[in-house]
Amino acid sequence: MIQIKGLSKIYRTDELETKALNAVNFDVKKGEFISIMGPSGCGKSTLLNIIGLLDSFDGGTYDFLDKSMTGLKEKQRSAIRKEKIGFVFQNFNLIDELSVFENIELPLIYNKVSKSERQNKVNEILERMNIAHRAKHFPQQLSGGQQQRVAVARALVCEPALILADEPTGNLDSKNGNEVMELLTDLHQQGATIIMVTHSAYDANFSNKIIELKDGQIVAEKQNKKLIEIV
Amino acid sequence: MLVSWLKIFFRNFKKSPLYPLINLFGLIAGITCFLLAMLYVSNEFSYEKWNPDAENTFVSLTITNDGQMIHAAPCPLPYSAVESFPELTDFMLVRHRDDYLIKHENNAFYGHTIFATENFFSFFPFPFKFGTAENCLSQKDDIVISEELSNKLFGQEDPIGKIVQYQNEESLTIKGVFQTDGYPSHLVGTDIIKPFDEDLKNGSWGNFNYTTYYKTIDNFDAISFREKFTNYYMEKGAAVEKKSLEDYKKYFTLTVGMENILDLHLFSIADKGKGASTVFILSLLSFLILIISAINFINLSISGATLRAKEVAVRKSMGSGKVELVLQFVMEVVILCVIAFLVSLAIVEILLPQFGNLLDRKLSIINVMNDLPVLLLTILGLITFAGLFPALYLSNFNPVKVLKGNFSRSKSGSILKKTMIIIQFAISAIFLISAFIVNAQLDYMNNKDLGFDKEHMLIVEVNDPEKLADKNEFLQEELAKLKGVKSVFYTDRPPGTESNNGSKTKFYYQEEPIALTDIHLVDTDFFTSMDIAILEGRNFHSTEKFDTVLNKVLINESIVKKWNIENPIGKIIEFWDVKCEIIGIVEDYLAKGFEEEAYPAVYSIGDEPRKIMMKLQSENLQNTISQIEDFWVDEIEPGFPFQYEFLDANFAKLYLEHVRLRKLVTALSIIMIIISLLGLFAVASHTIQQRYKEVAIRKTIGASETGLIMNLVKDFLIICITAIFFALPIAYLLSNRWLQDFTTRIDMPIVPYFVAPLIILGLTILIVLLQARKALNVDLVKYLKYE
Repeated sequence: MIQIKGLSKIYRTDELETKALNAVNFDVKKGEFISIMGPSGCGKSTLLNIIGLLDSFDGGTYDFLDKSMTGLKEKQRSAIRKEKIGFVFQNFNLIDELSVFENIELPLIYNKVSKSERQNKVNEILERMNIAHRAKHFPQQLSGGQQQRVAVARALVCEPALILADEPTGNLDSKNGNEVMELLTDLHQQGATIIMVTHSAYDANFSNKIIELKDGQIVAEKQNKKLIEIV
Repeated sequence: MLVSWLKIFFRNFKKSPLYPLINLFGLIAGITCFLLAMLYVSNEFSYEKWNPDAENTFVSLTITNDGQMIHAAPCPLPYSAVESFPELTDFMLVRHRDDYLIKHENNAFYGHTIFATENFFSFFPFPFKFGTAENCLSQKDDIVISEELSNKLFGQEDPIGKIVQYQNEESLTIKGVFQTDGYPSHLVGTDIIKPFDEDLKNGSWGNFNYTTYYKTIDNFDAISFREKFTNYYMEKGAAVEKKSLEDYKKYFTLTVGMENILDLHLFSIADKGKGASTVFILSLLSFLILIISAINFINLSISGATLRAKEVAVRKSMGSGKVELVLQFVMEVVILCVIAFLVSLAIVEILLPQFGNLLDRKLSIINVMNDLPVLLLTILGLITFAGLFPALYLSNFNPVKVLKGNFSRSKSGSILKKTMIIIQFAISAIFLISAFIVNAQLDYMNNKDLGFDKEHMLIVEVNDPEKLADKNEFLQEELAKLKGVKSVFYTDRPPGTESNNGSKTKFYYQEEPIALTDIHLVDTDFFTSMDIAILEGRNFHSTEKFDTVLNKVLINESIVKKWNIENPIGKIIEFWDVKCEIIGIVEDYLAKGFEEEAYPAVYSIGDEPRKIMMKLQSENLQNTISQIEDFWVDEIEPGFPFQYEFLDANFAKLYLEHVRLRKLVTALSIIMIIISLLGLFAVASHTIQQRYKEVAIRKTIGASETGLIMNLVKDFLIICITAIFFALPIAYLLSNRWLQDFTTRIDMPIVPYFVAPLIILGLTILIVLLQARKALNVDLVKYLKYE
């Protein structure tokens, strides 16, 4: 699904040049659940943003679903994002002025799904995420765990080919964090492709492949033998 | 503490100078307009105030039954009134004359003359630059001139005792030079004051040609005095003219009264409540501009508040009290205001001469220093209000929330902001629409068929019509021979010229009295040359002359309509004790402008050419005029400088006031819109910046650019449309009321009600779009990660 070869990204300020990514090679197959780990500033979020087409890169190639992502215009990137990629963020990034229902509905509107179908899909996913009773509430009225579930619901509602999660449990306590991780594992078992950035080795253990980054380079890549049993 | 505040203020200013600059600009515009308007207003209110006895000084006022009002009375009236009424302690009589020639050696000027009784300067104690007020008008050949005229004739020299030629007839001795600069009065503009040379005491009781001033006892009530005074006049007048009181009352259907000179300039009854309209409109507009700039101030400060939230929180957590925080922000406001005020003062000083010209007043900042504290207080009050509002808002932030970083925008703040913008835009829209309508009405007046031909009509002032009566035929023949002159004729009253003839004259139609008719003296060519239509009957024959036995006259449509006259041709109308046969009916034309359109009038052949009119060819106008001038000065009136004017210019004077209004309303509504748009620009950019995170989220999910822009613009469109919704009916009511004052007026135009909102809507969209485009280019990663 994803082939990345020699990918590099450089941040420049007036005096300083920082290599955030340095010749990264990285493949993802359909149905994989991959964790990216590493210390602060190692480039893991940058890698995820590039994969999610939120950020550009300076060197190397990146193919997504067998198409080159080099030199795409913002309009093309935006089209791919809305159809193929779902995002889950550490700080949820819900729109405060929209209700739970409306937040989840948003990607469907952008994908020009008809109103009745939107209603069905949102209700369906609300049920699945166990937040149907919160549909009319606003993000500020929910707990962190609930907010993150809404964010996951929003990421899933268009049935994207790829889910990107940037420290999805970072702002949650362990109980709520666990719930979110179980949700992602469920999705993975149903066949979703997930790439997750995390600090937590515990969270990483839910995935089936762990990539370790340091100073913008991949230093280790290992298959995970499911240390944690899912009940 | 103060130093830290100042440091932060100037660093913030350096970091993002745009908003404080916009704020400053709006304030400067607001304060400048307000100052200019108030300088004018306080000047208007200062008329006659310098006169120590103003409260007890009254001017005669005669009110006819159909509502005409003049400040004149018959000259014998005050002589006996002062003896009969203990309330009246003294009186002074005045008669005005325009364009009388005064000459000294080679300098000659036309000036406005006042013929006055000896005690003029005890009623209006203008200071003397040369000479003294004592006995200055006691001799027949005494004359007092204004400082302005003195400068023109003699420079800075002391002219006391010098002899001047007056109307090329009299030699008069200058007894004094009076000053009017800084002494605003309805008599300013008078160049020459000269004693009467007629026997006023035994003058006519029916001739209302003299402005009479009275001095009264304290607390004199002019309104309740009117009835008493009118009865007194009727009895005296009837007795002198040896008529029965009933008969006398029949044609003098009028009230004789007086009003205080302090009311004369703005609140005279004779102005029918419109004397202060410019003052009123200007005060209102400038006050609204000040409010609009104060709204900008509040809005910008509240918008900027989020940027300062962290500073407030840190200060609070370190123990700063609320009062200190409020003080800090108020101080920032004061700094901006002081800068704005100083810059405004400079701009006012620069603009004052032009502004004074526009309003036909001599204004200076120093002259009205007395009122300056009031101005300062108003501005300071408004600024404190504008500054305190956001200061309180800012200092109320919850520091814990802000420091933890989940400070969310306050709903109340945004509603307040929206309401303010709605008010701003509604006010701007109202005045933009009004400006369109004022312009439409004035264009209509300029282009309307006036009922006569006004193009290339030259009016020449005749200085001594009596003398010219003999030369009349020669004059007309010779002038007509000049190249470029199409026709020559005369009248006492070209359209746009005031005349005293008529209104108080006794008229009889078929022996029945008809009051209040104007008399126009014309010559036989008048109607043809002016292209005025004769509806019935015939024009004068070229051989007909003024005749004291049986005159021929034409009457206008209005007489026929007003008195319901049937078949008037051949009937007799009597005035000035002369019986006249009606030979024709003339179509009404606009002789007095648009506010007083149709009035009854009689046209008789005049025996003296008071004003010679000439229709000229449009080519080589200048050449033609200089030929006429040469001929005039050599042959007709040697010794009198040639004075002429064009009819269209003469007529345009009638609506000078409206032209002024057009300029003021247009200029001020443009300023209003600029200030409002600047405010919108700043608020829009702030609001949209606050939504960067939302934009980033929407973009990540895949929102299209058009969708995003619509989303950002939508809010402002709603604001704009709400404002227009409120503005439309108010604008309609205001302009409808204004149009009512014109007898000839446009139907309420619909176009401004579309065009003005479209302009405002268009500009709003443009400004918001510019800001929204910036939002589309936000760095997604930055706004997704951090708030």
